This record gives sequence, structure tokens and C-alpha cells, in this order.
Amino acid sequence: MKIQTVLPNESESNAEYSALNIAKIVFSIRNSAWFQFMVFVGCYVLLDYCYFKIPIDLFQNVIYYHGVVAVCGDLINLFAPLEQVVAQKNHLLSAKADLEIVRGCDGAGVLFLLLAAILAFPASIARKLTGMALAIGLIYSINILRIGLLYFVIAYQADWFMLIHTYIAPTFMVLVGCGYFACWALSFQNNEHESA
Amino acid sequence: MSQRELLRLSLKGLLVWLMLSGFFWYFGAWLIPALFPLIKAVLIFLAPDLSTSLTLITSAQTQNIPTLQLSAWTLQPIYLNTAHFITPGTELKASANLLHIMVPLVIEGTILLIWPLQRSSQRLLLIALGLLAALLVILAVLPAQLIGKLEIAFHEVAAKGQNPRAIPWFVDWMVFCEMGGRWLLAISGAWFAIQLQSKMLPNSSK
Repeated sequence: MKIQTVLPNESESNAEYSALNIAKIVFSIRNSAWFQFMVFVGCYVLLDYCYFKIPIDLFQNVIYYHGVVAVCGDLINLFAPLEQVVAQKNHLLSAKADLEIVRGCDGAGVLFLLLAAILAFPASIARKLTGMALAIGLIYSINILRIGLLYFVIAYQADWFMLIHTYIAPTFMVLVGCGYFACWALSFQNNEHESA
Repeated sequence: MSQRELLRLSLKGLLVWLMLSGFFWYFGAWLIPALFPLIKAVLIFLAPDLSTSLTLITSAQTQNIPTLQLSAWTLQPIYLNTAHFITPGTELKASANLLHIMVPLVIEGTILLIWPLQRSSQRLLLIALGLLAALLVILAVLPAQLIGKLEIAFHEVAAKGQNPRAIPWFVDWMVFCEMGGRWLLAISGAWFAIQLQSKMLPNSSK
């Protein structure tokens, strides 16, 4: 009789103990730096792979035209109406410059880094979604500014194009991305401490 | 970390970025030739059918920005398609802008120099590990970029005929790196250096 009453409790507590242990191990793996790093790299590679699955015609005729070139052209014409910029497929055209937007000129590389970092960071789904939405907005805005700046550089200071296009813009965008991620991750930690 | 500390860190990051940019702008052309033997070793591994030579050139064509030029001579006939071969002894050229090469180094350097640490010995170790990581990043990116450009030129001709030459793996790697993968490598390099440093010289507990 004694055995009958003790055994179920023991097995129950054993099951609870092992479930707790598994949960602890899963939690520690999920929070380990190496696991997060692997998720970061994996997410980046996956996003990059999906990006290359999008046909180039769709990029040139639809995504770049509506998402980048037309927006940038409107903004330039709004602030500098004398430029009379025309958006044509993936080209930003005027009498002074012809800027072609090709794959990679859309800020996708920096955005994928940022999205991968946010996905890898241990946070709630809601926080991740907010972080990713703000990241898309930030990188999109910076990229529109970058393309606008590159248009003016080609039109008025072509000698600076190489320096700005190959060096200043990419390093600046990646470091802004790192800064944004640091702010997002640290605000998360601060909030957690406050609520605790 | 408070907002004030975050702002301080951001300003520090901006300063370090400017400092490193200035450093590579003035000394990059002096630093990169020191890596030529290692870059050539990777080039030989990627393309054993080519004899390669590297030079640093500056011209009006490159907007007076130093450019690394690869001259490669074919040692054997290179198959393009059933109708076209490149004969042995043909000289082929590809180039890479020095500023473009420096981008991952500046990203990695900026992260490592502003990373919060307790002691200067930790900083020194982190810089040493960071230099090693930067070297690996350059060797992973630059030779594939140079040879990849030649391969893309081969493929443009090869695709016009029957049974075109197969695209080697390093062209995919080059495209991955050029689309932002080299930034990922720079960040990964910094991350590995930080992990190693924290294992070798951990922060002292208060």
C-alpha cells in the first residue's frame, strides 16, 4: 500500500524534474552566445537566398521602380524642382545624371544583417516584430537618402562618386544598423530590469 | 546601459569610424602590398591554371583611388564552350578598388575599438585577435572577388556557345560577399575576436 502511494508521486516528481532540466538546457542553449550567433548567420543566409530567388525583371520593373526610383525622383523634384528628374524602370534620369539602381543598391544587405540579428536575439515575438518593422523603416529611409545623395554626387561632383558609393555609404549604413540593434537590444534589457 | 552611455558610445563609434577611415585612406595603399604573398597563395588555390601578379595602381580612370590590379596569365588552355578556348599565355586583368576592400576592415575595427572593456590589456588582446580576424576576412573575400570577375567575363563568352563552362563555386561566394556577405564576415570576425578575448582575459568580477 505504501509503495502504491509513493511510486506515482516519485515518478511524477522525476518527470517534473527531468522536464525542468530539459527546459533549463533548452533555455541555456537558446541564450548561449554561440547559438544566437549560428541563428544570426543562418537567418542572414536564408534571407540572402530568398532575395536571389526574386526574378531580376520583377526588381527592375516593379520593386525598384515603385519602391525606390519613383520615390527618390519625387523627393528630388520636391526639394530641387530644377533637377527635373524622371524615374524610368530602375534608372533615375535627368539632363545631368543617369543613376542606375541594381541588385544590392536597395540596402538589402544591411537590412538582412539587422533582421537576422533581431531574429537571433532572445526577445518576445512582439518585440522582435516591432524591432524588425522599425529596422525596415530605418534602412529604407537611409537608403532613399543615400540614393538621393548619390544622384547629386553624379550630377555635380562625379569625382566623389567612388568614395561615397564604395566606402562612406556602406560603412556608414552598416554602423548605423549596428547602432540601431544596440539601442533595440539594450532598451529591451533596460525594460526587463525595470519591470523586474 | 543608460541613454547617456549609449549616446557616448555612438559618438565614440562615429569618431573611431572617422579615425579608421582616415588611417586607411592614407596608409591603405602601404598596408595592402604586405598581404600580396598571402593573397597570391589563395589565388593559386582558386585558379591553379593561372599565373598571377598583383600591382597597386592609381590613375584618373579610377578617380585617383588606389586600385588593386590582378594580371593573370593562362598556363593551360581554358575551356569556355565547344567553340572557344583561351590560349595559354593570354594575359587577363581584373581589379578591385582599395576603398571597397577596406570596408569590412573598418566595420570590424570600429566594433572592436568601441567594445566596452575593463582593462587596456583586454583591449590589446582584442586588437591582436581582431587583426588576425581581419586578415582572414580579406583572404576570404579579396582573391575570390578578383578571380570571380575573370570567371564572370569567361562566362559571358561561354554562355553564347554550346556546352558552356561550368560556373565554379567561388563565383557564388563572390556574389554572396558582394551583396553584403563581407559585412557579415566583418561582424562575425569581430564577434569571434570578442568571444576569444573574453575567454582568454575575462572581466574581473567586482
